[in-house]
Amino acid sequence: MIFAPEVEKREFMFMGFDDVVRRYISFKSLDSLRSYMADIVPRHAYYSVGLYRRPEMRKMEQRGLEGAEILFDIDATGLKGCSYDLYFCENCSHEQDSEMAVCPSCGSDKIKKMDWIDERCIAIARAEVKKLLKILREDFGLKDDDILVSYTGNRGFHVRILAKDFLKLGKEERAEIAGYIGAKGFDYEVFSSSGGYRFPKPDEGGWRGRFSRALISILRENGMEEIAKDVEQGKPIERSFMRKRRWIMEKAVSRMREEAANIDEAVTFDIQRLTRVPNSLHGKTGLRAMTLTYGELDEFNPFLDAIGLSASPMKVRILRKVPKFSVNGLSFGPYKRDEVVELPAYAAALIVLRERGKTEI
Amino acid sequence: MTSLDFLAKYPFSEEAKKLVERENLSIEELAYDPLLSKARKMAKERLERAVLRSAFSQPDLLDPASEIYSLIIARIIVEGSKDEILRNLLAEHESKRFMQVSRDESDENLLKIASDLGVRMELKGEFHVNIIDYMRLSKRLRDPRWRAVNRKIEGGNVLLSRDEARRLLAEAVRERILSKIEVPELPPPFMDILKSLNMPKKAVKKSKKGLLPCVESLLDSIMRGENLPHVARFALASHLLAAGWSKEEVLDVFRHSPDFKEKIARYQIEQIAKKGYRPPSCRKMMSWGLCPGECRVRKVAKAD
Repeated sequence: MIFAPEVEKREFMFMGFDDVVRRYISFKSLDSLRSYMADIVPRHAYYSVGLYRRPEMRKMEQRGLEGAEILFDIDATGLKGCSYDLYFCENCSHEQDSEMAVCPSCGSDKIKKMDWIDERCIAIARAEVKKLLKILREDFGLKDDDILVSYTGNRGFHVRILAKDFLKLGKEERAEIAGYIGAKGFDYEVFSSSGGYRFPKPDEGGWRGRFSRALISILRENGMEEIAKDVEQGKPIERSFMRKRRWIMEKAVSRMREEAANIDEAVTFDIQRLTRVPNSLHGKTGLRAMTLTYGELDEFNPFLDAIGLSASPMKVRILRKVPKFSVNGLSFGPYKRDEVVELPAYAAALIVLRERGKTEI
Repeated sequence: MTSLDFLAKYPFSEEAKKLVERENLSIEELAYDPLLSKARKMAKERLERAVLRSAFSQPDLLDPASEIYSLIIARIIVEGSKDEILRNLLAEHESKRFMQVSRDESDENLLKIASDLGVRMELKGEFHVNIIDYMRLSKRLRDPRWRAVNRKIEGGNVLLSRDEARRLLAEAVRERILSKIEVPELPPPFMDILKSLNMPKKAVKKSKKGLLPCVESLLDSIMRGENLPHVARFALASHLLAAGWSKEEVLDVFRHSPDFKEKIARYQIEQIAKKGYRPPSCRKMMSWGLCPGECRVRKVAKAD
């Protein structure tokens, strides 16, 4: 069932299969939203993170902003282990698995990068979500009730903060929060004074503690047990010693940053953002965007739990190579170009919506 | 019971407001009542000192009402002037004044001021400030040691020393003075005070063409009289010089800064010009926490 908290305060935007964009739409109730969506059957459905008194107004200043949810966007695309799997020449239709700047077949530079969606990408995105939740709980003191996690319907997750005192924050504070999540601006030189480097105690909270724990383990790995002990006990380390071994501190910073969550910062500080309506279908997968509880996050598998279409059979002509994949516990593919296959609608939709095939009547 | 000198030292507080609220004076009474002539004189002095960026005068601890009324009148004049530079100058002045008068304040009173200013602060060995309040208030303090990422954090709080806690409260004072109030048209006595102020030259006619959006927003901030952190000033000055602005033109921009000191500003601008510092890149400025997002080209505003 389509759901939107405080529905009457949000702006909606829909993109149809006809590629028409409908914006500045508002609804007085969930029922009217639901019947509208049943009527137009959008390919993509979005609503605003902002809550407005008059959400249908076109100009921001006329809308009367009351507050905006803080949204963290985690997308596996571009993260290590979940990159593009197919490069396609739009000029001559040559395709290959490895990256190409120009097509080796026709010399064109009109190359389309294409990605697929699989369990591995979901696992990579999930690991980032867990890092984010850890920081929100430990450093921001948030409780489980203050946080909402949802699957986007594609290759990632959304995490929102529902706590009231976050709603009113401005753009600058949001940028600061986003930067904090990614450990941006961390500077170990703040520990330096005339008496030497006085590093934080390893049991300290925040990035300082994470840095010191990383530093101590790197010192130990490199046989500097004495120094590691001094850091543990909060004793200052001679400045010249550390300055000659700057690589140790740099390495500690990069190890510390492994605990930082990979979020798209631009999403977090944008209070005018539009985001996918929970439980609506994603137009690039046919999978359902859905809200998850903590228990569900660990076990969640969109190819079992977020299937949004029926199993009725559909014929698909393969246009571009499709890797082996599984949905609803069934295995499909791999398929080669020009094959015609009959598949359940949910599997066929994945191929068609990712532009690797078209339906045949 | 709040003591009189508390009210005289912190005339911006809700506590102080309560003292005068009962009388519920109209703007005409504030402007003409002979009993308030001392307060009006003090208000004028407050604004003059703010504009000249000179030290504040010692509060009259025996006469909190005049302190409180003088701040109210000064704020009314600022609001009526619709001049953002004057607003920022007064905020800077009151924030500095707070730093001075609170120097020997008891911890108990500091916590009381915090709660008055809506800052969630507790004393548990160190001062614990709610991390969201901290991020809001520390945004103008862009020195790396003030950034939350470099600070001690415990369960949603940032830990501060006593002096750091005072510095953060001074920012909350600035925030309060910057906040808007409802004001009808200024009566003549207030207009006279406003006209007597020696405001800095306003116009900088140089074209903004060729500046990065990020730099343009820094320029706009400083022209509104906002207090920019050091790295922002460096970024702005070096970009303007690189865009072909003369040293004098850049200096005129910095005249709008609420803590402008000609000697220091001139020296720093000359140093940047002489040593030929390369202006920082967009990426660098983003990493310093300047101009969130403005460096990027905005795409269609939707997430997956």
